[in-house]
Amino acid sequence: MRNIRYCIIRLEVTHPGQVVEISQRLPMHVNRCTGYLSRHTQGIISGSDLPEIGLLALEFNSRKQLYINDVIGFQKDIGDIPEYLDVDIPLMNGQLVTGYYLDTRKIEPKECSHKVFAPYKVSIYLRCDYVKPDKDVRSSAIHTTAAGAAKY
Amino acid sequence: MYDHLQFIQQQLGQRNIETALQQFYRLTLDAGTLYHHFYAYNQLLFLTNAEQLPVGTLIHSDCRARIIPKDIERLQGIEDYTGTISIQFPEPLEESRTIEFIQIIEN
Repeated sequence: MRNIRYCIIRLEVTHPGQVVEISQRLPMHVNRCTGYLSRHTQGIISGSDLPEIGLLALEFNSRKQLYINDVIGFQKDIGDIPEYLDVDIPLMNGQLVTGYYLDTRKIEPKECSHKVFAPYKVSIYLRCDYVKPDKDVRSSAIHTTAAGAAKY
Repeated sequence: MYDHLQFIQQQLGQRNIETALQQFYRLTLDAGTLYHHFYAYNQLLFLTNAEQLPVGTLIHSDCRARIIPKDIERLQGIEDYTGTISIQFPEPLEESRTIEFIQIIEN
């Protein structure tokens, strides 16, 4: 039986032009990434949509596969929930997702006059599959030596 | 002593990358250059002389982005870039600079 687990990577950008490095270990039991979504989640206040606030790159399986290069934008209407982009990435157990986020946000003249940069957050959502066993396995069935020793 | 070549070979092995050719790749940028980009697909370029670049230089590629920090001379690690690589200097170069990479052509 296949189940879904959502893995979330949160990034915080604190100064303009910042490079935020990504290095996060995925859970051991997930074995395939089937969807990807990234978006600004907190910090930027703007009266209009911004087509680009940063660039994102993600590599999977401890740098064995470069899979995602994306442009991150800002949507002023938080009611618009974007859909996951379908991907099909086999995952090796417990390997790293690595990459970077580069802030490319253009400071508006109004902000520039005050020399203010508002920190913001970006979240990356990975939809991962894992196979759930049909029924629970007793630990004594796995650790036979320990179970045998316990009898005596 | 930290051995760059050994590090590269170990990392290529860990990432299951077979090497067709390993060589030096040198890129000379003229005085006045503020921005330069070039392509390095199906290959890895390990930057070997980052300390020669001005502090604040942004190197940006498909897999990695790096801003040269103030204490670059105290760092030993080398990093790889691939795909479309762009180099953006904080100010136009006052004199020409040669940037050196170890180029790994993948099989």
